[in-house]
Amino acid sequence: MKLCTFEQLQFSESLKGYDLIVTASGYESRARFVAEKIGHQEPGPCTRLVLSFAEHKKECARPENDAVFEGLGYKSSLCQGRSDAEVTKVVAHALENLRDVPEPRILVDISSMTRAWYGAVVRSLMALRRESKLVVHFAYTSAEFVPPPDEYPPNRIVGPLAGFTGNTLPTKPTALILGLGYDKDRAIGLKDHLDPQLTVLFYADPAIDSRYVPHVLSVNEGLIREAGDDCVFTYPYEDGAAAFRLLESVSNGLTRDWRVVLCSMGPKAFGLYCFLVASLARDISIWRVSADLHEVPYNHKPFGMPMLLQTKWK
Amino acid sequence: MISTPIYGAFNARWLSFEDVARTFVPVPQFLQLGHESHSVLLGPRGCGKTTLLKMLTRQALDSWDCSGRAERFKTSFTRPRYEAIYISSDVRWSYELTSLPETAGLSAGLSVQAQRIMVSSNALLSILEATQCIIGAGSGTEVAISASLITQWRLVGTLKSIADIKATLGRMVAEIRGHLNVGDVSKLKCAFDSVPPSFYGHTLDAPTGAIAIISEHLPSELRPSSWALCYDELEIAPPWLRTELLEALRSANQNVFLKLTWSPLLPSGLRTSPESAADFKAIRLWHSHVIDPRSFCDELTRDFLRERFPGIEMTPDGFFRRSVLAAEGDEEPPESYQQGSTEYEVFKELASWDKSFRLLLSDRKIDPDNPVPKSLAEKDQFFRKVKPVALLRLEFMANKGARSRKRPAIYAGKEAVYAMSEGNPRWLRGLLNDFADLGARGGSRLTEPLFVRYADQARLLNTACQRFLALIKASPFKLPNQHASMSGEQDGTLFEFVNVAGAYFNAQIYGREFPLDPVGSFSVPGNADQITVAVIEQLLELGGLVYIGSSPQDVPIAIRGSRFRLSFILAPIHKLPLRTYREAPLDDVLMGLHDKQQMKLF
Repeated sequence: MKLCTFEQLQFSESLKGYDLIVTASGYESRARFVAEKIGHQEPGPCTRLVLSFAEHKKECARPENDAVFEGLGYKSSLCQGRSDAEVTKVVAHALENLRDVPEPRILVDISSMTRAWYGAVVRSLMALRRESKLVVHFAYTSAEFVPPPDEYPPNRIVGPLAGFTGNTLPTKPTALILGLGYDKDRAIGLKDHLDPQLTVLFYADPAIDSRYVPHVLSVNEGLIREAGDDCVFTYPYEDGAAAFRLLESVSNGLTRDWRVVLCSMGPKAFGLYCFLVASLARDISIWRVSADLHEVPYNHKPFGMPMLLQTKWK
Repeated sequence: MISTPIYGAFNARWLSFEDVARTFVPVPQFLQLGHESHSVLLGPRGCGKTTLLKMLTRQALDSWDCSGRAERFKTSFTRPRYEAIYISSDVRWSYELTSLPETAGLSAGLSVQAQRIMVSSNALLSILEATQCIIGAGSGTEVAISASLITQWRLVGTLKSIADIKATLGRMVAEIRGHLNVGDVSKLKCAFDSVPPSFYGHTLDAPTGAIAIISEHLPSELRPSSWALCYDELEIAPPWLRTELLEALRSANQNVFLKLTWSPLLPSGLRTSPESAADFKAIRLWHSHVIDPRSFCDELTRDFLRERFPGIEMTPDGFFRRSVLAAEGDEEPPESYQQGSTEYEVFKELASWDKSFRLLLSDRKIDPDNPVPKSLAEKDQFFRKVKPVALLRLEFMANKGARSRKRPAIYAGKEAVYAMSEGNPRWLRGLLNDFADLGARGGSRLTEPLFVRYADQARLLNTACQRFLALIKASPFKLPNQHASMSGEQDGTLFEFVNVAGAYFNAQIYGREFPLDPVGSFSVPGNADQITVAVIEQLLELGGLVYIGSSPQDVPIAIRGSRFRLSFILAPIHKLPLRTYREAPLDDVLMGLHDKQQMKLF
């Protein structure tokens, strides 16, 4: 199937009538925020799936999250955070079960998913073949602001994500489009590792919390100066549709002369835009960087109302 | 603050051949590469392998000949007799090719078939482009060559032009790529059926086949006597590709030479033994000792300053001035170590509070309150020897506030910049560019020679050091194949290895006793485990570790039994000297930290 529309909805008005809900249970308390908002209110038959991390089962808010999901009737599937294979299998199976539903509505809460996981969800949608269209809502709950850590663990995983590899011949130079986060030097390290000829930077401004911006600018100062004004873009965090269109426009503009790689180190919402943009232009590659099991667990609490992004697939 | 684009901006990979020639500074290794033989260029990232390969091409050599740059340099070279084809690659391509089995969810057989088709197509596109340069556009030769290739490869719907053949190959690869992305095995197999078998045979089948056809149709005045296929980034290519090309070095085909790039470690199984010396030339592109790359760095800096500040007579010595820490022997002014010199003040000040240093001087009958060498021999054998450590201990062990305002920053000055660049042209150009930007800021045109203040040099070198560390931190450790099942569980990282080793060497310098002959390198025992060997190998490729050989031509054939040091670019992080010191066994280095958590890592 192919993504045909993308728009942003008001969160509170639209949380009903789903045929399938897919969420994740990890160590952050924001993982259950959307599920708790929905509660038991679904009137019709709805399949509820929770992808449960095989790692960090006792850390932070994990036990409570598991209990809440179980109480709300979510069926749990244990998946490794780094792997897309198990998630692909679970989601593809759930989508297949909707074959007889005329225009199914699906909710995917990516708040506590890894990039490999929500990438697998998008890939499963792309691989799906069906006659009628599909409405997929992606929900994302922001985390309460915490200052950036002094140190971050070295990368254990760097490379393209399954289904988003581009595989283009090296006849054109590489352009890296990077969504900035606030780990010091992590972005510049990736940039030097990948060694692109052009680097284009994105960061949220205004952000969900104004305290994020100075930190992002400070830890990425050298990279931002090196990229130059023409290659640094800001997007309004609260306006997902505008951010998506900006990323799509910049990516498409570059694909004629460059081999584009997208990588998000910032909010997961930006990571989702990357997957959706790459689903439309298959030359684009998506990379992830991660310390894998060595990321230090932190209980990110929900902040504000979740973002709800409506996509339609045909 | 000025950013430090030391890795990206001066990468030759995506510079045009003409631009590569415009900034090329000849090195003796280029003469070796030009020989009619197979060659393997060995060195870490950024050491200039791509530049040398690209300089072999017709377009780059034509540009060089016309530029007049040849007269500027002492090293001259004659044009290679072969026609060189540069076959591009980059980190992204290598990652995507290598990860194909997992990312596309295909069987190993299908993945390798897809990889082979893409690798062959990439080489063929380069060969076709080079052919266009040889024959020019719209000639009868082009039609003849195209007709033959179309027949040979059974291409349908393709016009008899090289441009159209390139377009057909592009479409063929795009179709395969599309099926790979959605993991559609049946359509992928169908697409494979229309691909000429030579495209997924041996790596060299399709390229050498194409070269044979092209040579056959070229008029004698245009026909090269031989060809060279220059494969870039082979060190990070999929294993089958590396194996096939390395094995092909043994081939006796005198019409097509291979010019390959590789990490600083000689490919396993290939030795530069006398009996195999005729097979290929191993060309080393790194420097073990601080003094080795000085003349190259001087040439490159002089050339850079001439281009960047035309009309102003600028020299590296004036631009940087000397480094008290890194200058050696004749690089030091005659008055060094005499009363009033920086060195004298350093020795005297250190002896005033460092009891072990004071004792060391006294034991040698040197007056700690007036530390002046009594003879040239004493200057050479003692004063020069202990200078770097004395400087560092004074800088980093003295009470804060006790530092003399007259003493320049430690990591600054010409010899320090050259040492920290490791003679790596990409790093050095990046640093030079930043220094020049800093010196020329304000927008007004320079009218007189520029000196970059020591404090600014130190700041930028420190930024470069931090950035290199960020690269190491960003680079994941790849487990050796036999340990792949440990993926996700292994504790060791390249970053941690560098930190443990750096902390050990730091402890050697800053202990209670002044070290006359500190440890500054390590040797790897014959029984080192495979994970440690893999970490060292990957750091070597990245440039974080440097092999120390017995001669400037010495190339390591294995990690075990070899000697290494940390790259000088990391010196500021661990406050280390810019000189190669004696070795310790690796086990000692890795046990150097008392932190139990760290010790179990390796």
